[in-house]
Amino acid sequence: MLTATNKRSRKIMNTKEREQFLLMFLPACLVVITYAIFFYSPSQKTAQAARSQLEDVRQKAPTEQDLLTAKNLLEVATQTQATVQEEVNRVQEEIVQFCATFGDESRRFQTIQNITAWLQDHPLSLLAQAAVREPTLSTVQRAALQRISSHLEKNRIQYREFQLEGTYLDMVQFLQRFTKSETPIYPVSLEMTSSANEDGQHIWSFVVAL
Amino acid sequence: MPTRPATTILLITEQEVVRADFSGKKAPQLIQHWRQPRGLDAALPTAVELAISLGPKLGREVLVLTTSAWTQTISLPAGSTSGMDETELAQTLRFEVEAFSGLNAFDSQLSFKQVNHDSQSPEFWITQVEIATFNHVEEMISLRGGKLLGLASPFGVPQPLTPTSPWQRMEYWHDLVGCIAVDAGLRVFIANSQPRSTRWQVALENWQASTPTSEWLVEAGVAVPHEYLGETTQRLEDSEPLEDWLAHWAAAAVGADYRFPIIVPTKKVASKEKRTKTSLAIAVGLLAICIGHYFFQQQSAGKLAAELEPLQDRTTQKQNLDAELRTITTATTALASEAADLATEQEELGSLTRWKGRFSALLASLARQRDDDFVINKITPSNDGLAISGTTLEIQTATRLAKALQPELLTEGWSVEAPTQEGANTLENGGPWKFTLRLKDRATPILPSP
Repeated sequence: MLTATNKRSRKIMNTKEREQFLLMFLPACLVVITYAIFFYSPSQKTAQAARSQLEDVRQKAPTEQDLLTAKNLLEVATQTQATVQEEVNRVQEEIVQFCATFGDESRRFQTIQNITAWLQDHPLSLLAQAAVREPTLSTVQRAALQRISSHLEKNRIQYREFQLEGTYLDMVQFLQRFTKSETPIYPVSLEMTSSANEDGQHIWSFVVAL
Repeated sequence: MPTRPATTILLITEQEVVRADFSGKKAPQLIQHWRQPRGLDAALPTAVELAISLGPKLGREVLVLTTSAWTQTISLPAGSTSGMDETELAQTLRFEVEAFSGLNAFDSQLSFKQVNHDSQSPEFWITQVEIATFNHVEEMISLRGGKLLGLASPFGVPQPLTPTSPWQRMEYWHDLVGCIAVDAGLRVFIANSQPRSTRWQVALENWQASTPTSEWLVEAGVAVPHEYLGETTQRLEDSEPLEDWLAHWAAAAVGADYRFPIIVPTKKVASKEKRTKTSLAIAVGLLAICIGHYFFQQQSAGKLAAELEPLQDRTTQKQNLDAELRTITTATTALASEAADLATEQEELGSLTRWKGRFSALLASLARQRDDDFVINKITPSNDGLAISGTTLEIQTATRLAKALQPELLTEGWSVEAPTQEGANTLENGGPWKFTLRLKDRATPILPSP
């Protein structure tokens, strides 16, 4: 009887003790669960994401050698750009300088004076001299002259026609003198009509761009 | 700095207190022992304290052997213990021995081992002590930094003191005479009587020993008649036998499966307050661990970020460099295109310069081809170049003239087309012929081969 009572009371005691023992860990469990849910888990997710990102970046990130190569390429490209830019500037400058020879009133005047002076050295008769608005030009010449016009700010290109009379040989010599001169004179049109008298004299129409 | 002993044995008898320190947990080796008279009125806890104070720092585990613990064998009716577990049996025995030990069943703690297996009824070797005394002893040891392994009677170390087999040992203690033997199993006889008394002899005669006594042990200060001793008597008042005997106890106490009754500390049921404190302490401890872990994680994340930063910087730097390179390449391509356009433009403009002498060259070239067969009548500008008109006597003259002019005028930017002719039908050959040569402007002149 005593044994049975003891047995029962011991069982009750054991159950209670077990409960008390387990209850002792309840706050600790709550702490752990709270930490796990609200801190550990989000932090773990963040860490996992950071690790993945790091791995990803590590795989994709360029090496120091890549950077060096890129810098060298950039340097070469910059130098190339500078070279091309210099070339562009140079050509532009040359074009501008070339175009500047047109449209200069004083130069025009000087050129006309020069031509007139040269004519006196050759047995050619100056029949007429006048500015022409639209001389007959080839397409190639017209394109080149239009380009020059586009570079001129104020004055447009002027065309001046000289009507001359003289022999073929005189005209050849005059034109050779013309060619050899340093003066920037650009003949754009030449016309010849034989004299009806058949005396070797021809009528020449000579247009220069000024 | 001396090492702390692994085990300390405290022997508390009526006469004296002994302390022995052992090193090595599994194979104990005696370091040193100390002994001192107990004092007449020293209670067990006081004696324990005295024994502790004999040496330096106490061993990690402490075995207390004391004659103050009541020990005896008791047999229960056959079948009365069947089905009982250890706890129930201990409870039963506590009540059974109450009359013999004088210790209240509820105020005492008890340990037992079943012995004398050959007897018809189950027989138990019991050691009992008051709970209060035991707790006091335990507290005393705990305060000195030790852990009470257990409390037992000094009687009956379950090993032969000299290596023989089978063996049987008679032990004479102040108020106990006992005999322990191991043959097929553990056999124990105990008489709670002084050795000088003759009562134990009568009882011993009734105890059926299977082997002759092989060794005798006498407590220090106990007088035993000579006829009850043998040649291999060991007296604990001598240091050497004492050390040997203590070493056997130390060896017997190794492990958890003791072959002798030993009262071990029970697990304490903590109070509500203590439980609450423990619970809070665990929670706080875990909280601290969690906080530590959280900061560790943050630190790890920081390290990851620190590791990531230069890589990202490098990636950004590379992307910027690539973008800059693309921009420059695009700009360079545009510049190259512009340069090409400008070169074309310059080429076109250059035609004006190149063609400065073209009319002179044309007239000179025509002059070189001079022939009586043809006459140039007219040179007229046109939208695509020049037209040269003239008259020939022979139809092939104009073509010949064109062929002759072609290579010379190509360098001046003209290409000479085949002449058109018209005969006047005045001559026999259909002539004279009026012809027209068309010189077409070329964008670029074909320069003569060097």
